[in-house]
Amino acid sequence: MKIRKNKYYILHFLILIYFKSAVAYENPNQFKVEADKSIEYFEKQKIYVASGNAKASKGNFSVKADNITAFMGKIKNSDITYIEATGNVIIIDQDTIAKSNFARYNFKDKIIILKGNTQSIEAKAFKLQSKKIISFDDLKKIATSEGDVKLVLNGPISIFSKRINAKFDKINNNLISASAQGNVKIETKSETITCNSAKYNNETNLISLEGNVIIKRDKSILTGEKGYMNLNTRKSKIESSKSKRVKGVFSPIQK
Amino acid sequence: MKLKLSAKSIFIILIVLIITILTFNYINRNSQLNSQKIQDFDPLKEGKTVGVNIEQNKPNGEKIKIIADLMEENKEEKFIKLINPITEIIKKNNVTKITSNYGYIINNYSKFKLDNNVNIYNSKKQFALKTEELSGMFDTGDMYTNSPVKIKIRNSKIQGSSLSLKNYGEYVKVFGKAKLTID
Repeated sequence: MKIRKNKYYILHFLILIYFKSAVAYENPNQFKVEADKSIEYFEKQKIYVASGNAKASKGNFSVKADNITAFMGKIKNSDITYIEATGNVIIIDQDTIAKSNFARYNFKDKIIILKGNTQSIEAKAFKLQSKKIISFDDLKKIATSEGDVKLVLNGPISIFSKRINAKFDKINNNLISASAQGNVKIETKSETITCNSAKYNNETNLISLEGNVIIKRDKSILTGEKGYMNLNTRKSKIESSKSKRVKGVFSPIQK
Repeated sequence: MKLKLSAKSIFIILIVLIITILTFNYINRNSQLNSQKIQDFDPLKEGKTVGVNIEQNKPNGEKIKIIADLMEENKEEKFIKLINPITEIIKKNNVTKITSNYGYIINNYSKFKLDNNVNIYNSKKQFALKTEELSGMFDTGDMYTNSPVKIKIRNSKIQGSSLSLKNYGEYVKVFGKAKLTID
C-alpha cells in the first residue's frame, strides 16, 4: 500500500517536472516562424525570409502565407520592426481574420496593410472587402479601404462604394461607424439605396445619405438630396435641397 | 517477506540509475573517440605532425590560423587531415572560429570538410552554428551541409535539416522543415 502511494508521489513529481520544463521557457513576446521549404537570413539587410507554407506568430497575432519576410531593426538585439507576407495570406488577431495576397504588418505602429486583387477583414459583426487596398490601424482601430469596397453588416446590409473608412471598438473590434464615399450603393432585404456618400453610426443604427439619393423599394422610387435610413425600424426619410425637390414614384403592388 | 520501499529510497535508486547511465554513456563515447584517435595516430608514419600550428596571411589582409592535435599531409593528392582542428579566420578584427573533431583541407588546400561536432562562432556578429559535418571554401567563406543544423544569430535561433551559407554568414539558407525564433 505504502509502495503504491509512493509510486503516485513519484509519478506526480515526474509529471510536475515535465510540465514545468515544458512551459518554463515560453516567452509570450517571442516571434516564432515555421516554413516547409526554407528560412533565409540576409545579414546586411537584417531580414529573414521563410518560404513554403510559412507560419509566424507572436502572442495572439498569427500569419499564414506562402512566404513571410521579417525585417529586423538595425540596432543590436533589436526586435522585428515589420513583416511582409505574400501569397494566400491569412492574418488572425484575436477574433479578427484578414485575408489577402500581400500583407504588411508594422509591429511598432500596429498597422496592417493588405494589397492585391481581393482582400478582406472579417470579425463577428462585419466583413470589409476591397479590390485594391485595406489599411487597418490596430491602435486607433480605424480601417481605410479603396477599390470596389464592400462592407457587410449584420442584418444583412451590404454597403458598396469606391472608398470606405470604418472605426471599430477597441475592446471587441465591433463596428462603431463607417463612412462611404463615391458611387455608394446600400442593399438591404427590401431596398436598394444609391447616393454619393453615406455614413453609418452603430449607436443610433442610422445610415445618413447625401447627394443624388435614390431609394428603391419594390417598385417605388424616392429621390432627393439627403436622406436617412433607420436600420432598427426599416424606415427611410428623404429630404430635398434648395434647388431640387423630393420626387416619388409609387407603384401599387398588384394582388 | 514484504518489500518496503520508502519514497526517499526510490528517489535515491532513480538518481543513482540516471547517474550510472550518463557516466556509462560518457565513458563509452570517449573511449570510442580515443580508440579512433589512437588508430589514426601514428606520428612515426611519414607526413604526420603532432601539435600543429599553421598561420597563413592572405594578400587581402585575411589571416587564417589553424591549431590541431595531429596533422597528416598527403603531398601527392594535396590534402591535409587534421584531428581536433581549431580554425580562426581573422578579417579586419572580425574573428570566425571553427572547431570540429576532424578536418580535411582538400582540392589543393582551397576547400575544407569538417566532421563530427562542428561549431562555428563569431563574437562580433553574435553568430554560432552547430552541425555534424560541414564543407566549404576558404576564399569565399561559402559553406554547406546536408546534416541538421542549429544557428544562433543575435537574439534569433534557426534550425533546419541542411544549410547553405555564404561569406562566413552574410547569407544563410536553412532548408527543409525550418524553424526560426526571435526573442
